[in-house]
Amino acid sequence: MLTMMKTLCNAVVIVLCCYGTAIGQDMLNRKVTLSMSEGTIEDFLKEITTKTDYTFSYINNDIQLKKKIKLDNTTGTIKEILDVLFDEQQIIYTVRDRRVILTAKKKESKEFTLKGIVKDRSSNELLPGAHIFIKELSIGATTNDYGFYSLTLPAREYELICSYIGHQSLQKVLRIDSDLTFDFALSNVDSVLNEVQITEEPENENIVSTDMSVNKPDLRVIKNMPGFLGEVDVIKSIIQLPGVTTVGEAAPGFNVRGGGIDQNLILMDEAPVYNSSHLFGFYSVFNPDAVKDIKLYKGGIPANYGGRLSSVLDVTQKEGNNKTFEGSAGVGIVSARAHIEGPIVKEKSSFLVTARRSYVDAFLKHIDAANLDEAYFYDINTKLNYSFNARNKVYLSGYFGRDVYRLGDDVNISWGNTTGTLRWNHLFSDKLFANFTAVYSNYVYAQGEPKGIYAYEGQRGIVSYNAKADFNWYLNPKHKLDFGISTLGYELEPGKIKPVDISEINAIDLSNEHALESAAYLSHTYTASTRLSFNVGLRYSIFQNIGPNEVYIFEEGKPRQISTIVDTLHAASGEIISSYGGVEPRVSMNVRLTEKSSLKASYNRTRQYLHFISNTTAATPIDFWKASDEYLKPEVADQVALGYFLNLKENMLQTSVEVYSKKIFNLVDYKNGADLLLNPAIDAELLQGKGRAYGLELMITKTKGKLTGWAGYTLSRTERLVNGPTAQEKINNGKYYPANYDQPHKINVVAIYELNKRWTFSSNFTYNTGRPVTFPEGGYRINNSFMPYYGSRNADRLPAYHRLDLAATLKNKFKPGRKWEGSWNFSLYNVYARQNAYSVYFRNKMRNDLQSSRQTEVVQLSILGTIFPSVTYNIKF
Amino acid sequence: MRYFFALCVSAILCTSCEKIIDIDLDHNPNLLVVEGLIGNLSEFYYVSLRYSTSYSFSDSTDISQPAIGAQVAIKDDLGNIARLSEWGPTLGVYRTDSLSPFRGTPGRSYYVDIITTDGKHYVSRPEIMRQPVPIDRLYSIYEPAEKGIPGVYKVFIDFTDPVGKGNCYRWLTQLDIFNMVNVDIDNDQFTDGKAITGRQLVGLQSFQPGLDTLSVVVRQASLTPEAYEFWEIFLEQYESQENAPYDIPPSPLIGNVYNVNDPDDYALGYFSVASMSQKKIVLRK
Repeated sequence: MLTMMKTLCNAVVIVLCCYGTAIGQDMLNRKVTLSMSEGTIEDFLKEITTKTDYTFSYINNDIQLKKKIKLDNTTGTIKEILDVLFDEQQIIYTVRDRRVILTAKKKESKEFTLKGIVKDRSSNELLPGAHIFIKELSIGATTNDYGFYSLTLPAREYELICSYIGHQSLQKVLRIDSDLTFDFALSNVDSVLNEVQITEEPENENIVSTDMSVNKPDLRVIKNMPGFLGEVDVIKSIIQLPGVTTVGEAAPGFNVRGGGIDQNLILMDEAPVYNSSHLFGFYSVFNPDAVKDIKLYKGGIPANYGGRLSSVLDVTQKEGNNKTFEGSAGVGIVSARAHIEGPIVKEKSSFLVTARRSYVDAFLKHIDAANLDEAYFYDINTKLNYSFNARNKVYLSGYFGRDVYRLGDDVNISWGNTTGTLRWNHLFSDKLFANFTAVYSNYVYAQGEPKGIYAYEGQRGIVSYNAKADFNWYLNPKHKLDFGISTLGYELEPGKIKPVDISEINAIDLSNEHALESAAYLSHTYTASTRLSFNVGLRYSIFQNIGPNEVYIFEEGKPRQISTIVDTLHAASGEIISSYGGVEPRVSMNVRLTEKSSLKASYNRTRQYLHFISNTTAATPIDFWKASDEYLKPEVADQVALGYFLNLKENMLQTSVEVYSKKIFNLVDYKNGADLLLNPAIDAELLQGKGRAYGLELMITKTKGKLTGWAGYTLSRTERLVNGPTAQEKINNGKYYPANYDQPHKINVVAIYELNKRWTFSSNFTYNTGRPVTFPEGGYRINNSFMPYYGSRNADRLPAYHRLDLAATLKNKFKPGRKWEGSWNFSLYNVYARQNAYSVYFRNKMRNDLQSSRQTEVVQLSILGTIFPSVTYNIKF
Repeated sequence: MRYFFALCVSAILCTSCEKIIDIDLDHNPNLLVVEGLIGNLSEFYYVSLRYSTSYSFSDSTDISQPAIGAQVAIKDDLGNIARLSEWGPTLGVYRTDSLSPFRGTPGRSYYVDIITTDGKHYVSRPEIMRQPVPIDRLYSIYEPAEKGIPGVYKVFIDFTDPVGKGNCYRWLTQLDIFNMVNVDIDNDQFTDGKAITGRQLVGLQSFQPGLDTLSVVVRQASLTPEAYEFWEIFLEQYESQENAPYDIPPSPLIGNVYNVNDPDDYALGYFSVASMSQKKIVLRK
């Protein structure tokens, strides 16, 4: 008689039973002759039961019963027969009464590796950060920067769900009983036909992973956000995230959690970008057409990144479609763009070329007052890749950009970045992924006056070469190791000028600085259980300032200034002038509270050896980078952050609350009235102090549906302290003062609404406390001029800043078979024409009623104090 | 250069606008303001002592309070003391003695010593008087009126910068009996050791009513680098008080006079020690 019953733990236990007599412990040695020689294991077990009255019990999940077996010998002891039946499975037989319990040997059950890539179905574009979730184990994996994943799992059948933002999730049942390669190809939501109901599986990656303080803004949202004069801009978009601020509308760069603009590691295809701005900061160097993925780490910075204190903005360029050619072009008020990508060798190799150029100068030539003869910027992004085989792939990417401005015969300036990255992805084994990178990056600023007795040509800049190797070792879904080494060589040119025309000035050529920054790191991601996971990382970095160079020796016990230089030492080529280094622990932890919520904590230490020398509130292209040296110590930051993450409505709404506290040591500041340009003894002008920043960030993101976007609120403080031994080496009398970018309150709302397949509307609202400024605390007269007296630095503030932008995109009607798609973008910047303060200054106005009498006027200047409408036309093919 | 960026930005946008707002500026830190310059010429030297006011003022006259009744002296590194006494015509101004006139010697170092009536004791950081740099030539070129721009007498100076960096200059110009109040400074950062020809000092459009001649006296003062730096920041703050993002955030203009008993308590202004060379030309209509 046969009965079946279900038991605990989701495992079905089938008990085969039969009536008979007890045999004893040696029942396995009892001989039996079976009347069948072919069948499944289950059939044979039933046959033994019929022949012997022994019961078998087992968990059928662990034991394969459907396997067909052919017995050569139908007579033998039960053990002999079982041995043949389970020849390929490792089964232990235990006897209790008349019951034979079959157990699969747990530990020795074989594990196999499933690996592959996640890519876009239509373009084969690799998808970094895609999530693969294993339903049975409630555990997952994330693809690396090259779309690669590897999972080592016990043999059995699994249901896998692969998801990536902006793509339809893919569900796949895979039987893993050998090492396997499986590539997920996900369909882009935009490319899905109109009629098809989009079913995106919202992700809960934000709840599961140990990553915190990370923003991965959806490019679809960024591309739909209203831009200033219709220009979509990556950096202006991330300023809308909590914890990110800027000192002004047209200011370059961004500030993260109380960090300076130089404390952001800005990477474009792994190449550091030393100046990310076009047009004095109105726009950034990232052409959105070439960008695939953006990640902003505000805290919890993984150990593979180093060299900057406060954040990492990692921008990945597209590889290019390796299936078919596609392209796009656009014309707006500011610039024109063109983009093309396609296969070189189908499915093996592809390229991408993107270019844009502004043509503001075309208008400016007609404005006499502007007197700008040239004013434009352009950039070109290129990328090539080639897959030799499944284990080897090579990428070559390059960026070239320039800004050029010429003001008659008076002054001309230009600046730009050039970067090149060569990468080789190599799979050492199914579990060990490696990437070898060589990077070149160059920033140069040139300035000149072509005519007259002060005519000159000047230049300054930075060149870096980086070689690195990064490894991802996927031991099993619970353990992942990332490790690598990197070495960066710098040549910094602090400045030179040479006379031209009839100039009477002397040539100056400050000696270049040379430096080497090397690092090694190891990072372990450990998923202890579905409730607890850690990432423990350690980075060790070392920095060497290397000759040839001149080192000034200052008189001891006196403030460092040119007049206290007592000696100049000449360091020979290759001689190490100064050396710094240290460990940088990076730790983060995730405690999963419920299915939809988690608590995360992180600590990280970062070191920065390069300093950006700029003492204006907003950086200018003239500012330059300087290496740590004998006097200028590396900057060090410690940040702790705590966050609560909660997803609502089937992960549609992702909310987070984060608090952070950051301390910065050896922050660079400047003596009052410091002379920074072409100064051979620049060390004499620099001060080092401390910084502290703390804050609370609230964010809610809606990732799916017709309405997408985010809303954020930030409450924060950022302060600095410079307290040197003498009055000239103190700022604010040696007391804490608010940093230029301290903005205690900040609110941002970004919303994109897709009305239908043709119309998309977007809005962007921003509010923040005005930036700190220093107003006079009194006045006095010297040299017969009335002068303001400035006391405490940054004790006052500009009025609050707020602005609303709106945009609408209209796509042309869908026509089956048409090879191109056109769209109009209409945008309004500063919809309610708020006159936000760019600055507040004072002017002494002559009064008409009283002769030679003056009155102090407080003047607020707004630069974008009106509404800016714009229209852009884009075409895709 | 920063103005260039601001200019570019506003030129590109052509949209900047200004409005007058209200901010309370009625506070006064009551700081002592010291002004003085001593040199190697045989003449009277003055030290002016006043107090700061609030920044917001609307009076026709200088409302700052003079510091009267103070004890003021110039001291050198040899222990010599030259006392100054209150000068009648202007309150708060102290002058060197007419009976034992003070005259500086290049190479010696000097400082001012002030005790105010409230008992506070201020001194300046000593400065070494530098060697004077002779004026090679002082001359004027008349540029006739053109395109509605009136004719102008431009005054130029030629001099030879001594080899070795750190030479700092300030040109003080006297027109007839009036001292010009402009701050005209330069240093040899880019021109060390060179013969400088045709550096323009002033441009004059007209003479005093009823006069056919105008005498121009130029003193070329050799400043210390510290004094030069002070006037450089002075100019920066004077020319640009816009607080715009491309500006350097304003900071206190700290001079070289401080309270002996509290180095954090400093006086505003500067006490400068400079050697001078002088030339005179007469312009005719």
